[in-house]
Amino acid sequence: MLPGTLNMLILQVLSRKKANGYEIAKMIEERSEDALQVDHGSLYPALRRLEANGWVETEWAMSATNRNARYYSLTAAGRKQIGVERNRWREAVLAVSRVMGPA
Amino acid sequence: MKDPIHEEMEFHFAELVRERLAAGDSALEAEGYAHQRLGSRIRIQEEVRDQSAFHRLETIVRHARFALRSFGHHGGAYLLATSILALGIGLSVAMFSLVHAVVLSPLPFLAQDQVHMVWKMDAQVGERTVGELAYPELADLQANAEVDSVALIPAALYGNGRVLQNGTDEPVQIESCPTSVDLFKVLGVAPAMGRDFNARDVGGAPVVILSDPVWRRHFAARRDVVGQMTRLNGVGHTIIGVMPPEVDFPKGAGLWLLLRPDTNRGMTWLQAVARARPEVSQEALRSAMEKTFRTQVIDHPEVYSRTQGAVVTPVADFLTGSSKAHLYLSLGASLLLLLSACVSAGNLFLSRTMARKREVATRVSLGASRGQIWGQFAVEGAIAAVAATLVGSSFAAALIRLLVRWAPSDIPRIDMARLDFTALAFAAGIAVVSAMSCLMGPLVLLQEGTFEGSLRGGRAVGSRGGRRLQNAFVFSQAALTVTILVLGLLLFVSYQAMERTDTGFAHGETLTMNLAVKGQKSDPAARRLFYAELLRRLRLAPEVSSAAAVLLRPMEGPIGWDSEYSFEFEAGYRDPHLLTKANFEVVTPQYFETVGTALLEGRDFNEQDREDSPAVLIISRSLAQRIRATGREPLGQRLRVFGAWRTVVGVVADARYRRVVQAMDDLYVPDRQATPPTNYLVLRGTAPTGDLLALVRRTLKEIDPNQAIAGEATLSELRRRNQARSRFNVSLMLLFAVGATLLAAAGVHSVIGESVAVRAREIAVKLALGAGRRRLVGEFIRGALLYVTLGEVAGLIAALLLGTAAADLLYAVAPSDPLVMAGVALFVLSVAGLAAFVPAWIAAGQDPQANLQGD
Repeated sequence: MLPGTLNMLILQVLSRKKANGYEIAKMIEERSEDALQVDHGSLYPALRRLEANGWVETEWAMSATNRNARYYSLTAAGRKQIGVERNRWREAVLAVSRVMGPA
Repeated sequence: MKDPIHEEMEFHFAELVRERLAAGDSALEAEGYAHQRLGSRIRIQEEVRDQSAFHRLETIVRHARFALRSFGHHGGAYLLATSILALGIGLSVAMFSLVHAVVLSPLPFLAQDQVHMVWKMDAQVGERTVGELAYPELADLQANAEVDSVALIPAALYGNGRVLQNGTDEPVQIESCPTSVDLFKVLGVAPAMGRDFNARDVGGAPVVILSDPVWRRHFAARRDVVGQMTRLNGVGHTIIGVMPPEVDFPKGAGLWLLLRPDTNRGMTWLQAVARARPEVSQEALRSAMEKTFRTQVIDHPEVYSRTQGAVVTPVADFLTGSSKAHLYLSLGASLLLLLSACVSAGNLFLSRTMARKREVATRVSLGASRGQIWGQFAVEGAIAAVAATLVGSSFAAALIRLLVRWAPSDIPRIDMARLDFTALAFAAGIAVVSAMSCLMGPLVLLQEGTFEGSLRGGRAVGSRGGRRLQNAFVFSQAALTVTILVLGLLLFVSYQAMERTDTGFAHGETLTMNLAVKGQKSDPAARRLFYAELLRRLRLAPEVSSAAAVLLRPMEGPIGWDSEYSFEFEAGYRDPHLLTKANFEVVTPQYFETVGTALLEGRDFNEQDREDSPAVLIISRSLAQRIRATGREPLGQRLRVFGAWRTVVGVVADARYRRVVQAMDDLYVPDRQATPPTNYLVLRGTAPTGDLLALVRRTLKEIDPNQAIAGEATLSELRRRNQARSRFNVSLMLLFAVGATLLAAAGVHSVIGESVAVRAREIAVKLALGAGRRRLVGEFIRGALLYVTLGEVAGLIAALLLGTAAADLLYAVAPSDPLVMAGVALFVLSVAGLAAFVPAWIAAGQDPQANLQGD
């Protein structure tokens, strides 16, 4: 997993629907066809940061497995932040590709 | 707050286990997998707890630290802006209060707009000369349908003093105003006690109305004075009333008496004060008066000039006179200074905002809306403006007291100035303006959206709008400063010229005093005897070097006796209606050596110039030169003065009798050959002034205990008094000029300081690349000095226009004086250059390493 991309990935996943921590990790792994392995342990500090910035909000709800779980969903600021993170990511990719040159 | 992390972890762990169990792992395998993916749950919990606690705490600490740092960085600028505003507000509020008291606030007269002063004007020789009225003209004016009521008062109070003997104190001379019956009806005021004059008093037993100060000082404010008798010039008068304290008209009158009816239309020494009927405008009143004066020419062609017209002045303008122009000029200058202060404060706020761009940008990126940011600046600006207004107003209150004490006492009603409701309303209006000037900078920056993009760009990116606004600030401040400085310097140069002016009175220590002879001794023969005896005794005293008497002492005010004259050699071909006027004086022998006016040719008057000897005359140098210009010798020429032919026996130096700044020709005649009385004693001696005065009082008591002296002053005191308004005015203007210069320097300094701070990185790169310090400094200050120069040009034009408008306040200097203009322009440019140079030089001398790494 590339450093600094976890926030972006979490937000992107949450832009579809709300999810609990386990589901977020699973969705990232599934959507990347298991190319990206999420460190489940680092997920929660990241979620707390996002929450503190006001980009996500939480609520308790029943999971698909019928257990009480904490669900995360995007706020309006969080939705905006996806754009910021995406631009930052694109610039980084562009910068790297300029360095590497055409294959 | 308890973090729900523990439950979340449990849930996550259970889900991972469930996932593996569903895939067919054993319970042990599934738990091992879950442990591996999730890591130590305890560690995660601690990490999260630490982080959220740290995050919350950090936010608070960061904000607090930020506010502190921001204050540390910008607090100085903030405080400076507030004190600059306070200074500007204080000065302008104080000046406004003075103008308000003297010019704007209503007089204590009923419907004052209807009350006007009326004089005659004669437009001969292209020179407007103001003429006075005689008693019989009262009836002519009263016959006017536009006039509600009208009264006559003397054109000048001097010479009308009355010696008051209240029976207990020493006799004292008091300024008095003889008037016709209707004066108080015209003004619309009533006595505080007793009654007004009425028609039965005319020609009846003498009556007098006291002013409030005279009633308090000489009658101990006793309520029973009405109806009592008092002696004026030795004649018993019944006190019929006491006026309230606010009635001071004409200014300085301590007693009001009735004019003695008189039928001589040639005795012109009065002016009229008239109340127009409601709805009658000043112009309507003037044309009505003009019609009256034209009728006079038809009825009495032997008395009146065919070209006489009317001058009508509102009573408020009459009372305020030239102090109005002076005060408005000072108010204008203080408002310019206030404007400059607003520009300075606005500039500081703008600089501060630009310096805080990054902070603001961070807050914008964290989701703060424009409105919130704007609100923060608005609060800051409003706080600064309100604080400045409060501090400025208390400063103004102190300043008003100081100025009132410092101001020349002849500015009417200036002692009424105080920080009242109107002045506070004025201050509040100013506060709004200054708050707006503080907010202009942030507003412009917000409008152009500088903050949104500037987080990534860092400090290197400037704000174009902000820069443009700063340039506008520098421009207007330079213009304002130049305007104030030029006006101040013009007044200063005028004042210097005034100080240097040779008034023709070399003996500044000569003592002068009013001694208008009263009572039975006031007929010419008795008066001459009285003065001859007084002067003889004074001259005998060892401490007196010379003593004399004169009709009107020098610089008593812009008043005097104007005399028409004509040369004998012109007779026959000169238009008899063309008037040539000169200042007329009646003097005793020894007068010239007492006041120090040099005798240039011929002789002084002496004891042989008697009533029955040939009529003689001494003329001033300017008049002698006029005679020489025709190829004749002045001595021995004959002039017609007041209808009598006189031979020139002497020429003396030019002297300024009316005002220091007013040059006139002078005619002197000996007292024994003139009807007008000598009213002033002049005395020069070796003893201190106090001893000389005591000597005069002692001698006077011996000759006639019923006479009293008044208005003692040395010639230099009279001159100082004459220049007091100019001195007051020039001091105020210089005060404003110094303030404006400091503000301009501070303004340029802050602009350059801010701009080098913003471009610190760019400077560092340039220095690292080997740019010379000198080149960098030049680059920085060139831009600022361009706008200073442009502002100076605008300021010079404004000053020229204002100076031309206020040309009668200037003396011996033109509003376009090139030396003044060039001097001010150069001075402001050097001050601005220095103010720009210092921060630029420091910035260009930095260590490039520190700045490149620091950012």
